[in-house]
Amino acid sequence: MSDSAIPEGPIRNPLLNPREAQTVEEIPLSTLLERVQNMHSERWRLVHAACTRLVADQEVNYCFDRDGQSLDSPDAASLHGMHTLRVRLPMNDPELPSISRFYWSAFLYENEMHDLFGITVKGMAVDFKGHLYTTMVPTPYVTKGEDHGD
Amino acid sequence: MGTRSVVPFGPQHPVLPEPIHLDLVLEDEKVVEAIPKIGFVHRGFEMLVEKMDFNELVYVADRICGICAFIHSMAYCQGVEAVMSVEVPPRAVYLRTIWSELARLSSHLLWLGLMADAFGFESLFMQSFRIREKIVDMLEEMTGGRIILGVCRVGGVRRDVTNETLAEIVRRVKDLGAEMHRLADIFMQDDSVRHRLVGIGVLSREQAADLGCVGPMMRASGISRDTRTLGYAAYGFVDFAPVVETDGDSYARCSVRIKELFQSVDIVAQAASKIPAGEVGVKVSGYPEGEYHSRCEQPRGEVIHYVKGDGTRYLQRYRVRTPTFANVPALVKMLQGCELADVPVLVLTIDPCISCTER
Repeated sequence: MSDSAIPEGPIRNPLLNPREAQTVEEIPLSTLLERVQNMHSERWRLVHAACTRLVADQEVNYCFDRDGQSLDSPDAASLHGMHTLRVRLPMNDPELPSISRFYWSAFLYENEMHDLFGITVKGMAVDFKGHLYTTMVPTPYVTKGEDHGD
Repeated sequence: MGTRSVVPFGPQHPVLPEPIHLDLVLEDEKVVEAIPKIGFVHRGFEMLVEKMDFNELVYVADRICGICAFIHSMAYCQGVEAVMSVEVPPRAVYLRTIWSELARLSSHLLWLGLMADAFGFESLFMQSFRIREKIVDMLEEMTGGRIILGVCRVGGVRRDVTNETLAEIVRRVKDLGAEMHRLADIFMQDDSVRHRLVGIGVLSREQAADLGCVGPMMRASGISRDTRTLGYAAYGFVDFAPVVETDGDSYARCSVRIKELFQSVDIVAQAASKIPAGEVGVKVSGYPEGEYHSRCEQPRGEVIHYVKGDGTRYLQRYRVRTPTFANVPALVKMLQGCELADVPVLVLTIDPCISCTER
């Protein structure tokens, strides 16, 4: 990426306490890497990635922004925006491909998903093999409720 | 290739107020690889959403960190307010802006003190903390809290501040500006300080962007990005521009934080001069249903509070991505190739806040 390609930041929002335009796009797991590669080549910034436990399954969110542009209007300098790619995973033996080949810094998010939610992430740039976090019980964010009976 | 050895750094180390561990792979005195480990005090409080309703969770957000407590609670409240379409009264968002900037002053002064301590400049450490103490006193006068302010709530703030008190706070903050100038001169011009910072831990603009850096780490590498420009709270109504340096070294990161001290003084004064009269909170009814990523600019950079509600009093998911978490990958890269003696300084230049990260 050349220096000139790095965005310079969004335009100041003239509203009092405004809300960002945030879009969520649920995609099949099979297309995740392709989509993330496209986001990377289009210079989207990985804001964060996180997992949410639902009732029957869990969802993983990859959030991107491009400072002042939303996916709906990539050429329009909107004031703010964030786009989320969402994939759903089963509760049992969930598995994801790593996106750290495109966003190297994603390895921390992915190790966190592994340690707290028990998701196997294949091909992480740095794999802590379950030792990023020291937890009393394995994968506490998916087993805690069952352990405590609530 | 010389003989390689592994030196453990942390989790207990004189320059680290909080635990982070690095396995430093050395060739002679040069670091060739650094492998981080966090999680020694991981609290898992995000799971408290199962037991505490969305209003009670504000108290938890306020206690994520002892340095940037207020901005955490504000980011959380903004997230819930966005989901519930709550319109916060203008006076409340101005007060949030003022307290945020005072919290930034407190945090940056604390960092300057710790940095001075790291390179052995004890009197500079004491001067930084002496000035910071006055900021903390002001916060106590306005909110009743020195560190954990506990004034933010969903729908506004818990306390109002009289205009006379605000005027007095502005006068005192501006007076502190003169003292901060003397402090800044030493940090920026003293040979012994420059010797430890200039050219150390250089992060290029391209690297900072690729590694997902946030906050002063990113701005010191020439990227003009500051979450406050999104205009949350009353930031759309005060005049400021992100502080940017281009050298990308430890000195540049120090310079950004020092310039942000004066920027914060200016924002406090602007906000206090524009604050409208009126209520400081609205009654909130119902339960959150929907999701929102609330972003704020903490002293260390962009923080994300993700809230997802399903229409019950308990949130379905609450997730916090702290700026330190985003800056750890850059730290790993910066440490590669540095001298062992520079490791403590480099770790401190990301202004690590492990208690935030171990949420």
